[in-house]
Amino acid sequence: MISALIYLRVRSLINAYRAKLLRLKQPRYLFGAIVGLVYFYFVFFHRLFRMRHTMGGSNSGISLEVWLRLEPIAAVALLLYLLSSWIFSSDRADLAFTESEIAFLFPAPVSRRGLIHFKLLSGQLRILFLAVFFAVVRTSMSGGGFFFVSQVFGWWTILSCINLHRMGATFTRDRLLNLGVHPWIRRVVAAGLVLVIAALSYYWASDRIAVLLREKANQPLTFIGAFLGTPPLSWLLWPFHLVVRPMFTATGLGFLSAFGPALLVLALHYVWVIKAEVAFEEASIVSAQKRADWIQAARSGKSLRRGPKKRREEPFPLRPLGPRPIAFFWRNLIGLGPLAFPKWWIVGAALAIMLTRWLLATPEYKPFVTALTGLALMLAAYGFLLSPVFVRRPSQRLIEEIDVIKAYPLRGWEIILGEMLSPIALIACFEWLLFTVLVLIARHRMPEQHGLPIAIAIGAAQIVPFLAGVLFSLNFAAVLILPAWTYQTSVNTASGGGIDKMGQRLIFAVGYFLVAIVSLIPAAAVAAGVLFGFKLLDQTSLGAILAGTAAALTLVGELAAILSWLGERYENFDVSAELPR
Amino acid sequence: MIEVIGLTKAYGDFLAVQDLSFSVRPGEVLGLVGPNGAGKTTTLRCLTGIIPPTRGVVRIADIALSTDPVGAKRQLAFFPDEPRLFEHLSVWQHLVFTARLYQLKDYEQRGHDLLQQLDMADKEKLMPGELSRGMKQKLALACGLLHQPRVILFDEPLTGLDPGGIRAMKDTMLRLAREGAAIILSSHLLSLLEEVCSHVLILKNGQKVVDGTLAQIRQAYSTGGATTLEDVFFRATGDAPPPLLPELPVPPALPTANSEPPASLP
Repeated sequence: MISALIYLRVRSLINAYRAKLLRLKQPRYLFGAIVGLVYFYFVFFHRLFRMRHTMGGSNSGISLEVWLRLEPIAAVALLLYLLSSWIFSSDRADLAFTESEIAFLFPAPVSRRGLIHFKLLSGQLRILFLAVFFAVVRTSMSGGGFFFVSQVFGWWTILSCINLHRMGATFTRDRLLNLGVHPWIRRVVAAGLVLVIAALSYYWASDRIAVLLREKANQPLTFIGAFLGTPPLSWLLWPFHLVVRPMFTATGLGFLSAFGPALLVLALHYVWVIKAEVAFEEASIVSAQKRADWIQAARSGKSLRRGPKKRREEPFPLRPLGPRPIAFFWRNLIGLGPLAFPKWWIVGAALAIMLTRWLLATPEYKPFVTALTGLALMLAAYGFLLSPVFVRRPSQRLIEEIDVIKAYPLRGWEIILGEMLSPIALIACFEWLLFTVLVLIARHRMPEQHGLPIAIAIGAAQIVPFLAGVLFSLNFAAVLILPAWTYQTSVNTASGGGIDKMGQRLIFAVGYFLVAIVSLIPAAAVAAGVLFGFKLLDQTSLGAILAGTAAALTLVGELAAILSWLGERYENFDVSAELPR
Repeated sequence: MIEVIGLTKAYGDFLAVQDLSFSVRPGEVLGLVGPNGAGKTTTLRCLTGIIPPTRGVVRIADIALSTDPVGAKRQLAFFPDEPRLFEHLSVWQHLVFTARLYQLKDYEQRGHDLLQQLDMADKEKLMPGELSRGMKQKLALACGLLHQPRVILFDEPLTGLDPGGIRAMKDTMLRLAREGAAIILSSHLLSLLEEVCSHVLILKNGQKVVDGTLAQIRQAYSTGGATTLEDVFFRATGDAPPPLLPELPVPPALPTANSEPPASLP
């Protein structure tokens, strides 16, 4: 029977990767795959293949000495992670089967134990992949040779332990619930036990900790190691040390002596899981149904999330006549909820201004003002570059709602502009808020400059929405040019994962940066010309404002050209050819 | 009102729809029928401008879809098999949104009237998450009919509806046709088409195999006696339905790993 289950898993895996390979026939995906492979080779494999570094050797990244001292921290991390499955998880035994697995396997003559083995085997494929991946990443930073092997087995032990423990915890939670133990009792007991042991350890070792703090305050790893090695915390952490130790060994013999006890822990977990006589079928069916509904909803163009039942306030009344992209803006702002309301931004701005003025008014807080300046500048820069990376829903909606949107009497550019407006408004409000803070600081630090900081801020503020629009347009271009990469990877299984997807992320990361630079070059040239002219007239402040206006107008032209091209592309976009359903 | 000339849709070498021509006049209801994969949904998507045709001309209310897509789309309404609503907009906000898209200045009275006709007058403030499947379908109808389209396309409109919803949907389609709309109805439910449609177009492998009024095609495929649309469909497509479970010879019992060896007779 197990052979049939292995066949199912292996065959599915092969077919999934075959689909990914077939996709590479299209040059654009092949290009992405090549970029991904090249990146992987030079960042990870290049060093690994050269095998220059032996077990004890290290170069950049974490040295072996430091690595070995991380073991107690890894043990604590494992403890906390496993503890989460006793505190946060649901109660019913649910083994995350798919609907097809349930349909075929549950009525088949497969024992409950056989089904558990199936899940364990399925998990092993994923675990092996992750173990090799993590080991490659770790070894590429430092080490090589045998170190790589120890890392693979080390990660395999940890991930297998997590997998088995979560499954065992699922069964035990279900059993506790059947025995009438309320979930909150279990949660409080689990968290309380760990907190009490940590507190007792701190109490008993407080004198030693005080000494360590005095003598080794600049050696945090030593201090942490000493604290975690104090009983009874060390007793609590002992089994977790057994699991993580194979990854933190320096020699082959050390690894072998650590691997045996780790395997023993895994074996005990396995017995715990296999011996648990818990009916998981019903909960598995319910959760499989929920997952299937979830995926079906997304495939049919509906939201992945359950719709709200409370009517949201409109940010502004939508009149029936006027620019049609505003209808999308209005709809998306309603979807955003409180973030879309000017009143919250006004409250935020008022608070930011009050805080800044308070810091500026107190000379002792000068270091905080310096830190605030750096933070505001950093957020302003990252806000531009990272917001298109994280805000991709508007562009994905182009495809998800295509059956509805494309039947509307709108040009493609109107639809794209409409979908783009709400993220642009959000990033603009965010940037303007930061500019306000920076102006306050600049005026305080440079009082002799009078109105120049305000003029510069007004100039820059004009550029913000249009530059954001240019950057966001890259997301829309990606959806329309490479839909299989960008459209709902969790739903469109043929597009999920893969080396080409990795290449896609790299291309985008570079793409946002390049788009920002390229779009700003003409805008900056025009702005520089205007500023120079006004400087000759000794009207620098006015020049700064008008330079911003000139740059903004240049960006408007660029954005209009981009929207026109994207709109045409959307009008001719053939979803059935790009994403067969 | 709807005019299709030489419509072809190709995916690489595969022709999903081949050289399809037909027309639907005001007041007519054309039933679009065909086996799975015949090209019905592709045809509807081409007619609504959702996907571009490879060749051919589509005219909606005398406006060529390829040259003036916005003008053509102002005249049509498309109802996909699943009502696609916006989760954060209430019932009434859907109408407000639609009015802006179609630039309908005096939409409020018509919106209220439509909700009244569809028994949704008291549900204006509800969210899609609070509506049943039938109610969602009605809301999609209200949005689609707000701009008084002259061309209406339905793709499997009865999916998921209860008997009451089915009756209401059929009545709505017939009323719209009486009011002068040109309607295309794609469905596998041949009995529905017999009740609602004035004309039928049968597709197979992307090609038109039958096109005419119900009476014409019944007569053309009659073999004497009463001829149903189902009979016409199978005769025209040549797809006699195979039995779901063909009779198979009963095999001898298979030995299993746990089965006992047969006891030997004395």
